[in-house]
Amino acid sequence: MSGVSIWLPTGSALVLFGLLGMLLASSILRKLLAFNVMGSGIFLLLLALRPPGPDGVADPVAQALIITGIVIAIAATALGVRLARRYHQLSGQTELPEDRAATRDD
Amino acid sequence: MNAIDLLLALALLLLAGSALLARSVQTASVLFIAFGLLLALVWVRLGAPDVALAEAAIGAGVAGALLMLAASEFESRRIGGSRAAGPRLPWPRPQGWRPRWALVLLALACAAVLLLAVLAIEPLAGAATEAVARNLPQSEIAHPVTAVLLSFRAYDTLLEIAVLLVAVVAVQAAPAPPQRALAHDPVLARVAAITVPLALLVALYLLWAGSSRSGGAFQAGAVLAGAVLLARFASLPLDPQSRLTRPPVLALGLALFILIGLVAGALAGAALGYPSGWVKPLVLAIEAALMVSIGATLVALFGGSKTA
Repeated sequence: MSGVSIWLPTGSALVLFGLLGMLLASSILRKLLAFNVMGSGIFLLLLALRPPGPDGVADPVAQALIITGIVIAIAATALGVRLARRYHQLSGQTELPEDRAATRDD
Repeated sequence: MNAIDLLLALALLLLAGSALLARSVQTASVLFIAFGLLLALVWVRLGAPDVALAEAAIGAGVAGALLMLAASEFESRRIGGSRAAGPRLPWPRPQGWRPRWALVLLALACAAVLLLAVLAIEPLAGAATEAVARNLPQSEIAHPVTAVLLSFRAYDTLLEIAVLLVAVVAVQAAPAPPQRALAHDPVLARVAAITVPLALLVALYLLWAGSSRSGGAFQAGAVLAGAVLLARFASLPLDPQSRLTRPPVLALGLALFILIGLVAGALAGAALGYPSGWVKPLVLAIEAALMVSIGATLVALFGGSKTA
């Protein structure tokens, strides 16, 4: 299955992008976006390790796990977005204090 | 065949990178939605249409829209407020780079270890596929993914619904800032008047299709939520949102799942099992309740009603 192996580096690169985004971005919303990119990379790795059989249908267990993962990721993202909105409403800030301090120090 | 995969992979990485580096969070959200739709194509290439449907509806649509909503809210507050707006810096901020090389190197090392680890795993083509196919007649559900979600691994799905319920309760506990009234848009109203009934029909189709082919409660619930939200944005006279997002509706799916899991499970001799001959109606009942609850949950995640 040479066609599938291309998704292993792609998934790893997405995890890398997401990790960099979560570590380097200072805005909370950007961190949440990076978190979703990282999750997508992990889902891609999960399915790439279970290549489709001769009938072209991917492993149903892996598919079910990924669907579950997508729903859990949206629950976490929605909670994060709501907390960010509340934080912005109360403080007027879109970044956490630690990240603001880090960018000021530079 | 491989050229298409290569092109898809490169476009996927390009979109992910540009979403993370975009100048404003609003642009980033739009790029993220495009990324999700492209990822849905990748799922189809990998033979997983069920995942593709969930990704397009929930991963790309709902997540991107949530981020965009918050970003435009922040932006409008910043323009309208008296707080001095700083110069709009592209991310990553140029001056922020120097001391962060250690972080970049660490992330690169993590990704390299991950890549080496996954390359070392021998891909198991079809091991679980065979096991599922062997037990599919016994489960009386024609579609393997639905059989896994609601029969073989029903505990996973039950707990997932519980997590979703906890998340929406937490979201409702943090009050949303009041949203400004949306201006009436005749074009949007016209489009919504055609699209909303169609979307409701598609949601019902996806629910019904889930038992025999790709589709299911999650995808149907996302389409349902999209229809309700579109009706709200277009200020259509039907606004079921205020009733839809009440706790009894949100908890309906989990409650019915547990009830059927216990009662039918007692008859079948195992919790979350189904007595033979009753599988299809029971699974459809659970999926219908799940669809309503998931739709209501996704609507509730977007926050307060118009009057809030």
